[in-house]
Amino acid sequence: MRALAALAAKTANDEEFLGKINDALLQLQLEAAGKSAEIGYKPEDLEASRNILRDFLEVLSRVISDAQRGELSAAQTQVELAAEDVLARLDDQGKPREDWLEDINRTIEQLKTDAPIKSCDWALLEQLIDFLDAEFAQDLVAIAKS
Amino acid sequence: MQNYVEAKIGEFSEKLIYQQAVLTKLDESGAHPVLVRRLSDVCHESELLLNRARRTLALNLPQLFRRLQIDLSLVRAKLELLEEFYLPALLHEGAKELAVSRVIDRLLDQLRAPQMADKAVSFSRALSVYPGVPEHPVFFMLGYTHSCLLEWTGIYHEIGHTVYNQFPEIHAKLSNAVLLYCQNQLQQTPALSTSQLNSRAERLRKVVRYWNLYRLAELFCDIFGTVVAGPAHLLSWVDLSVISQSDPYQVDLVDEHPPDAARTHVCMLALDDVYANSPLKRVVSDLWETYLSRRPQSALFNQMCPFPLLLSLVQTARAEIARNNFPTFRTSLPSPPESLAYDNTGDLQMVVNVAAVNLMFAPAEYSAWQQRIARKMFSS
Repeated sequence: MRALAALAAKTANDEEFLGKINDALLQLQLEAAGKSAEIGYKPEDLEASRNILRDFLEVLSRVISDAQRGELSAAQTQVELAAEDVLARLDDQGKPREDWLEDINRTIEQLKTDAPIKSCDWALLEQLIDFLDAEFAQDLVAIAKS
Repeated sequence: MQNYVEAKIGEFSEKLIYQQAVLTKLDESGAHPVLVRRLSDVCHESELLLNRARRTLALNLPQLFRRLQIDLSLVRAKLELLEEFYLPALLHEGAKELAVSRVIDRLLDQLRAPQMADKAVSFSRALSVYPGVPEHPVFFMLGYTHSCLLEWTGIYHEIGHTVYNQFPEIHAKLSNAVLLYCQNQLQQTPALSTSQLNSRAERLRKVVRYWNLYRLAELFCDIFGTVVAGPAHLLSWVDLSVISQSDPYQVDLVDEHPPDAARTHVCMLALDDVYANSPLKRVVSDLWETYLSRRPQSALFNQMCPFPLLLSLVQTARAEIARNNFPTFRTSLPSPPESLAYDNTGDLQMVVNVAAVNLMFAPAEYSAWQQRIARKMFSS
């Protein structure tokens, strides 16, 4: 009765979500560099990528707000599970939750427009993906040890 | 960094070519056609990621290197899924593995669990299931499992994982049970200061977070195993816990497993009432109580695993097991000497339960009985 089954399920979930978010950010970074068409991305792909990132940030914002207000909520979906993992890592950074919320809500607004993404928003998105990547790396280590 | 990314793309492409060649050979052999096709899909996903990485790298945009590194870590995980788990299982499959696979099929049928379109069995790791490709798991067990009958009881826990993954509403119901318990706690209004109320809310948030998808899966599988395989599963679990000599109340916030004491508690609660006064239940309870004596409960255990919450989770899981029409094991068990004459190998739940009785109450005759049954079970 090793943990392999649960670990494999978690790894598969985390892998799929990290892949989706990383893919979306890559497309927008290619767009910002004026190279998205060279890799074959169409405007509708880029629009979908903005939506994927915005949806994730909106769920993350709700999860952080709930935690701030002391409200209880159980993560059910893949994106909610990822948001809970990210929240745990945000709390370890020492920066107050309200500051994270401010940054996240600003980036959500930015993603609602077609305007070029600002450097502070890139930095936030990159950092959040690094948290997801760290969670995935931890899964792989746990599987290797199981 | 550009050189490194380029080197890794080359290295992973070579590994992918090797895996694709192995899959082509397996495909030609005709074994596991469905599983081999799904594994080929995984290789194709890696191929797409590597092709895109190659084209993106050629643009020479340093701000994208981090994205490519992450893509490479995704490819690495896919390569390892095949190399560490699936390919060794498929390449070393022999008559013994196929015999065990047939027993698992019979068992799924008996449990009215959905049959798997394709699966593999491997004797290379301790008993566990690896659902890297969810509908096509690898069942791992040690080489002696097929001749040590009680080792088989763990398979019910592992099948519980496939059930849990196939019926997402089970997680939703269990998760709601945790939320409801914590919300009820939150609504109780003792005379506490604002800061005390805030820290109580934060503690309860941690309880909700602790009982995530994966820990609820482990607990559900313990309950599932006990419901469908009866006291043999309870004995097997208590044995596993006692032989490990680990702290039963230790809450590990990183490990996906809940503490042993919580898991034993839910197994005890999940066991059908028909066994409440059975000699097997009594002997297992005595063993567990002795093991627990002089081991203090930790504050964290009391916070994360309170009895009313565990009870609620057992009730919810049992309701889901019944709703999905899985059979509850409640057959009355023979005692020695009748149990030593038992030889119906068609009913694995009964076999493992009689094995538990014979092991505990007729240890001198157990080995001969087990050999006879195992021979019959795997010759058919």
